[in-house]
Amino acid sequence: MIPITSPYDLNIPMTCSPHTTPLVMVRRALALGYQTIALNTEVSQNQFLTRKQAKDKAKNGDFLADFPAPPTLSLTSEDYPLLASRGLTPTILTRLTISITNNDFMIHYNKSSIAKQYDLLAINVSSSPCLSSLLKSSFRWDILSFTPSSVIGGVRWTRKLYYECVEKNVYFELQYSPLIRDSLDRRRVISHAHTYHSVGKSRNIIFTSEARSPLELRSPADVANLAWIMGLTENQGKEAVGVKGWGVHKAAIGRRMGPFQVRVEKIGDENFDKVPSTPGESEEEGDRDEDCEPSTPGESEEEGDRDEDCEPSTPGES
Amino acid sequence: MVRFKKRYFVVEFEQAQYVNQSKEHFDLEPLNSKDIDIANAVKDKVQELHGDFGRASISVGFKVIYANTTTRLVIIRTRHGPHRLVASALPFVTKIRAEGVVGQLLYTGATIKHCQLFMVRRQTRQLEMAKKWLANKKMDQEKLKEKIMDIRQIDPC
Repeated sequence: MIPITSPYDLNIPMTCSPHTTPLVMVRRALALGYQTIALNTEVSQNQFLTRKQAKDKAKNGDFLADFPAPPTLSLTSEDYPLLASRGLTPTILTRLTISITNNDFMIHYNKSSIAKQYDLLAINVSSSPCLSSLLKSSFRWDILSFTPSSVIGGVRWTRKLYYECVEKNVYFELQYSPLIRDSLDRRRVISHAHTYHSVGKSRNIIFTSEARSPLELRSPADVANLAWIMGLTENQGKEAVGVKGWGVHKAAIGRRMGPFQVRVEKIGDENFDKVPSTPGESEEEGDRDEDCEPSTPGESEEEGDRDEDCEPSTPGES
Repeated sequence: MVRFKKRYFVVEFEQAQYVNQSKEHFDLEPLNSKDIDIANAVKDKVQELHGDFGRASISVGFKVIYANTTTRLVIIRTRHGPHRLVASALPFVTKIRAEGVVGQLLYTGATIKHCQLFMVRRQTRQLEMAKKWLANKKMDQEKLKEKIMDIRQIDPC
């Protein structure tokens, strides 16, 4: 059971202003009252070398051979006095944001073991066909982000597209620091937020900071009050800083774990003592499903009760 | 006649120069502004975000007072309803009389009594922090307590 550690700020960029450091940003966020923070590493699909580019060594540019390693931050209780006085410790997550233009980024992502070490995965999509093709593939991610400059001419949102993302446990991020930084970005982010309200009733929305300096961070109460501007109700605003962040965390853990497997055994004399003694347990014994194949291959051959109707637990086993 | 409901926001304004610093500090320096300057800053920001409609909505029953100048604690009173406009504009107030500030909403109350209870508890914690941070400096403990625990009341009407 993953405990709720709200309030959440799931976007503190590692590339912050030159006058500050990520540690200062994290300290400030914890002093404002946040308990869970995600350090965000941003990469773009264009940064990854294709085979042609790797052969052409004369090419100069900001290219990456592999995803950057997840950042680590060591904190002492002096860095979070507010939480320490309540006997709590902060939760520091790592987040990877990939800006994509088509599905080719999956080639680099699937062969990278470093990319899979991140706790959260966010995708920044530039167009509707790109998002549609991503949804049709088997790729799973946690957060859908956007840049204010790509709002006009970017994804053309429909209710169908929105709810396809919701069904895949994708959460939509609204960043509040661009509202503070620039008035043009403010209009763009607010219009995008209202689009989410029109097509999706502002479901699965989280508020994050994307703050480049400590001055751009705001307390959870202030961020929740931004709901009025963003087209959310008061409750949705509070949830966007609290419970929805918990939902993202749980969804991310589930995505990394993969399809959950259940082991089903017949109760016999050899394992009768392992049956928990809870009321009503004896009534449920007759309802236990004995037809599904056990998760360990080969075991069914020993017991002789292989069910050909159930799907095998691992692909290719059939 | 039904009562006019109000909302009281307890806000602390921190100086931007200290927020940007990476060193730990405890700031007891008051802002270089008065109650009216904070009120104008909030009203201007509401006008910027919500236009003339927003500014006009909040103007009736709007009052700002310094609860404590030393710790820069401010109480903002608004009518219930337009209070949402003020609450949504508070994160965007970054300057008061050309001085960079960062506002933090500490408490939203429907009565002065509960705001007062909250402020007394908070100022007591601030006093303990001040004694801890300023232990090296020779400060008169009584004067420090007087400065921090002096909470001005806002007019309920």
